[in-house]
Amino acid sequence: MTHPFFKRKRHISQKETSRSEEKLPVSADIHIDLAKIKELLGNSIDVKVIEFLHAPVKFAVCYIEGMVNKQQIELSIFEPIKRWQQTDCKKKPEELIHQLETAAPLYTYRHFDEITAAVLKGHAAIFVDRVDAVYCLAIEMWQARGVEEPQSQTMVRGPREGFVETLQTNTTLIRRRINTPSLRFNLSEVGKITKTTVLIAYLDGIVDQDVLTEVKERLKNINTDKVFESGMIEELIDENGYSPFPVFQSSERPDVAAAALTEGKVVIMFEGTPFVLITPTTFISFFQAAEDYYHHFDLSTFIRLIRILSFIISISLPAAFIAFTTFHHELIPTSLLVSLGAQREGVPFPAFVEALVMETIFEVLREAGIRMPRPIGSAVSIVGAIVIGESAVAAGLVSPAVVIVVSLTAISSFVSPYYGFSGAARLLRFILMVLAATTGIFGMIFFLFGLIIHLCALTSMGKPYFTPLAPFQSGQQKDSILRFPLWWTQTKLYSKWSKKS
Amino acid sequence: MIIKKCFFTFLLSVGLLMSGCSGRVELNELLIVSAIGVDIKEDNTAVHFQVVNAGGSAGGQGGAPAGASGGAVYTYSVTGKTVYEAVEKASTILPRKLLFSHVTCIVVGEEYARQKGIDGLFDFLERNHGIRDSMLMLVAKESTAKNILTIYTPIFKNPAESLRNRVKQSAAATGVAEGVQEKEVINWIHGQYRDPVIQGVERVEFDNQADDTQNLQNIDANNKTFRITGLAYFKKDKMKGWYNTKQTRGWAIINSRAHEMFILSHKCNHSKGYVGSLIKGIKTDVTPKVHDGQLSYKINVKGKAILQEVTCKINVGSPKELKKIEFQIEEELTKELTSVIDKAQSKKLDVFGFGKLLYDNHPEMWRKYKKDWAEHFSDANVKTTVNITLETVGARVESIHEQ
Repeated sequence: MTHPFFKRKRHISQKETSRSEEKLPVSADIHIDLAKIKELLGNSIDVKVIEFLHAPVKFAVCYIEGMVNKQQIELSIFEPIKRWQQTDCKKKPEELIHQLETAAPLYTYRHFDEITAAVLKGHAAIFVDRVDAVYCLAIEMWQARGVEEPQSQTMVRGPREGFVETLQTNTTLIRRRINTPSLRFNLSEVGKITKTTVLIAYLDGIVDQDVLTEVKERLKNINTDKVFESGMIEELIDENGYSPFPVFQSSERPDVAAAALTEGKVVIMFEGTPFVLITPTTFISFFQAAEDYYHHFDLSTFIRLIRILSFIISISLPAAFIAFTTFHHELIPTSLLVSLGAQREGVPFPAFVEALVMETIFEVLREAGIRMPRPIGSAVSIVGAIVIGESAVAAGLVSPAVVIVVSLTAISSFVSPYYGFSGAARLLRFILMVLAATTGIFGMIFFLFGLIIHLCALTSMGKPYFTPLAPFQSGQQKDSILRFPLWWTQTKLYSKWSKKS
Repeated sequence: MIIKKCFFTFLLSVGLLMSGCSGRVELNELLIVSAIGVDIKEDNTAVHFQVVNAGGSAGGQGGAPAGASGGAVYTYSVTGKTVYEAVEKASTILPRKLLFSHVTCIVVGEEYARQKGIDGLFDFLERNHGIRDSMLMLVAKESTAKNILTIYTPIFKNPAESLRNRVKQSAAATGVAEGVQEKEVINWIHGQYRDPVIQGVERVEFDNQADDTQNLQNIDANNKTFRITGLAYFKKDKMKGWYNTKQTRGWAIINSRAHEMFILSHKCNHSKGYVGSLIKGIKTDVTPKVHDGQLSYKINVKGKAILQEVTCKINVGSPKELKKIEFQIEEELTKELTSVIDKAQSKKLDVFGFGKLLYDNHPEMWRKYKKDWAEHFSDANVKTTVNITLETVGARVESIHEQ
């Protein structure tokens, strides 16, 4: 196990707070029931209770405005019931519910906590007089964003569909890609106040059972009031809380999620966010874009190597620059050293401060670029280009080489297909810069060794994080740093050929 | 527990952060030494540091603020009893800390090499971890190191770089491909097998104007450039004399230092003119033999020639003539070899490492001969065989003189 120094204390709630009055059973009197439901849901204007108290069989419908399909309420509930009420024959209140003309599932509840939960999810609750049950019709429908191209993970070749905020659409997007009966979506709920729906998707028979039970266990152990995004869950169920490296792949691409499912991984999906979590994950998988499999293998392999190179650059280039120019002058070719020296003439700060200032300026610009209102975007980019590029050099604050180093680092940090992963490199870069400024390459190597040890110690849902590399598995090398041709392993020809030889 | 952890982390970080900065030197606190010169001054050692003025060297750099111009290099001279004393004394006149790790060459004045001997330099050069032992070593021919180091060169802003490049460029003419490095000289002086040689350098035309940047404006380049001359030969650490170009080339061939070499033979039948060719892929094989107490060496040279120039009337198309050309080249090379062997034997200085060869092949004989090796070396019988194949005659076959 990990060293206790690095182990994280997890607060597991023991006591579940629940209000006893919500366990109230439904009474047969519609007036009491309606009073009760109004009391529970309060006087919110979006809660609608449509009462039909003068009909032969008294009934009422309760729903939340904007969360149900109103047209369907009219067509499948009101219309048929009205017709039935107008017929002469003797009416039993139990029969009312059989009159509905709808394909939506119907649930029968006898306790108010179930009813409120269902109404809040967009069901229409039907109260019938002289029946001690309430029927809930799942006809939820609300304004949702259409399926669009994912913003955070763009690609040249590949499907343009991305997940949306609506869970139902998302399950469809996955279901459409995996036409196998063994695809399962397990329901779970997180957040004492928000009661966010969480789905655990997996392929039965392929999924790693240990991982599945671990995911379920951890989701059950969450003790929080609110969850709005998968990132919050990620942090809540992460076993390596202090590590900057993400151990969940968060993706808004259905093809990525589907591919993960077929590899036996578990996908956790949330209501209200287009980002799903894929677990267990490995370090290398953050260098693998979905597009790698859609392009020819040699190009994909080359691009993967480029990604790894740019990760190394984004973590260590400024630090290496500082170390070389302040400690290891002998490692720089003479003419370059002279040129660097010429650039530094008149620069008042040490190389470390120069690099730190430029890095900070860049981080500020990046953050501003994300947060600022769109219309002023161009203004910030102009200022950024002038500050970073020209003026800082002209003003003698920094040397041109530092500008190149910082901009190369910045560009490199955008190469990872997963934004969260480049954040780790961003943070570690600063630590590495401090070490390089104090102890040179010695400090950098010290830190990078520690980093490798840390990566080897990390686990994702109990599975090793650095896996095809650190517990070395030769079988998995065909898709880790390199991507071998698919026909090597995934055609019948190959298996015939390999049997022969 | 938490306090303990915090304390541990604090100690670790403070220890790491505080300890490191001691070795930190910013680039603009450094003077990059590009060449070192050593001269004799009365009985002391005058050391010249040619340092790079970064602002002046990298002219046209956007980052270099205006005003930091001036010459690309400057040469500071200090005198001390030893090199180290001179270096320490230099700190009183130098504006910044010296950085020795980019020294490309060390130039020794001829007088210093002859009178004091170069042995006194090496301990400092070896002990200082910043100095590369692969730097070139040169002797200023009939001049002082200061003369060589106080000259602005065109094309290369850094004269030391120019000098190093000259050594590389001159390989085909002098035969010595990579120059002579400091570590080799040390090995030769302090090993018991051989005596060192060092390449010489001189100014092509001596001109007092050359130490002024204004002179760079002058189109005539000969007054501001170096010439790589023949080798200076030493008896252990004392310089004894010079080899001419022919002998230098012979030395390079025997020591397998020649990668390529041009050769001009002028034996044309019945007519005036020359045949020039470039020899490549020179392979030399030296085998010692002891027969009846008589030491003999057999030098076997193989190479490929490429015809470069024919200014006499010969029929290049005929194989017979080609054979003749081959033979002429072989003759020329043999002359070069015998010339240097004769000179070395007459001066009794084993500059070829024949002693080492003997030790490798017949250690018992070496132990016998070791005491008066110089005598045995000069008495040794050296046979040379040169075998050159003419590989190509170039882009045309017939010489234009045939028409």
